[in-house]
Amino acid sequence: MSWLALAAEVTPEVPQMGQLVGGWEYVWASYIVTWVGIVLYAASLFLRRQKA
Amino acid sequence: MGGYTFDSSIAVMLLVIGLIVLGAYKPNTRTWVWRIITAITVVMLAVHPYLSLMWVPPEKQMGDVYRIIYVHVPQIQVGMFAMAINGICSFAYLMKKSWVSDALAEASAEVAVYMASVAVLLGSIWGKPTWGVYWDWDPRLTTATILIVTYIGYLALRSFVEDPEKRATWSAVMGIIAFVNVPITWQAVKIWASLHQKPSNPKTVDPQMVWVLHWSQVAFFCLMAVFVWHRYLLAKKTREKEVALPDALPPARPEAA
Repeated sequence: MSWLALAAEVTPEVPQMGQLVGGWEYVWASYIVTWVGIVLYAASLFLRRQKA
Repeated sequence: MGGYTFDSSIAVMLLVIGLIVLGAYKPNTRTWVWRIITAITVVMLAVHPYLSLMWVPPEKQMGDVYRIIYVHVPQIQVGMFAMAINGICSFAYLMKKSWVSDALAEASAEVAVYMASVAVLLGSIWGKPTWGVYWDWDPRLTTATILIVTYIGYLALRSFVEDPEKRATWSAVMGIIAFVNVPITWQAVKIWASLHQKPSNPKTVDPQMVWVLHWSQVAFFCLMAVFVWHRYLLAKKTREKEVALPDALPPARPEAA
């Protein structure tokens, strides 16, 4: 069975039909939007409470 | 790692709900209750990127793109939860005029608009690699957009009306009307044949993925609670200035901040 393990190791992963590959730029964009949103809203609350 | 029915993130959620209830009934505990909840929120959000971007494995069909689920789903859920708070407070105001329910309605509506708007934007980003387009007038997206526009209208109404009592009453009526669309949006994928995917069954999903989703839901729930609380304090301050008007609203109950 060791040849099987070896084959599994060397066989490159071929994407199947309908399988998405990559797309990290969309993931990063989403997380950046989320974190910028959190920081901006928190800052707006802080500034408005200082003013009030 | 935790199972589907109960895990550590749900335990944290119950702890936070318990703390909120404690703070509501014992005003002298509020300051430290909200400090603890804020600390829990910061810790959970700090760990969140590691869990969702590195620790959890990629999905079979969507690969790494599905990781957007960990910011998109919790934000739309807590956004709708904030809309539900707004609906309850609006109804409560019409039943018994209280500046507390009015201020809480105002706070929850603003946080709801912020979180739901970010969630829809993230959904749009997710749409590009999975659907091939950033936007489609699919029932879920359409109802969610109408929902956000309605709550923006609610906030606009509040900013236009100067008389606090009229503002509170009119916006309470609008809050109840706006809430009608929340369950419709929630169920849109089941009611209509929709491009937007239906909710996955956690029983058929890798427990590691479910656990991180629970973590995300609790983290964003805590964040929403903290934001609503601070926005409520801001609304309370504004209202305290306004209730100096003779018979606009019942006087504020003295309480610890």
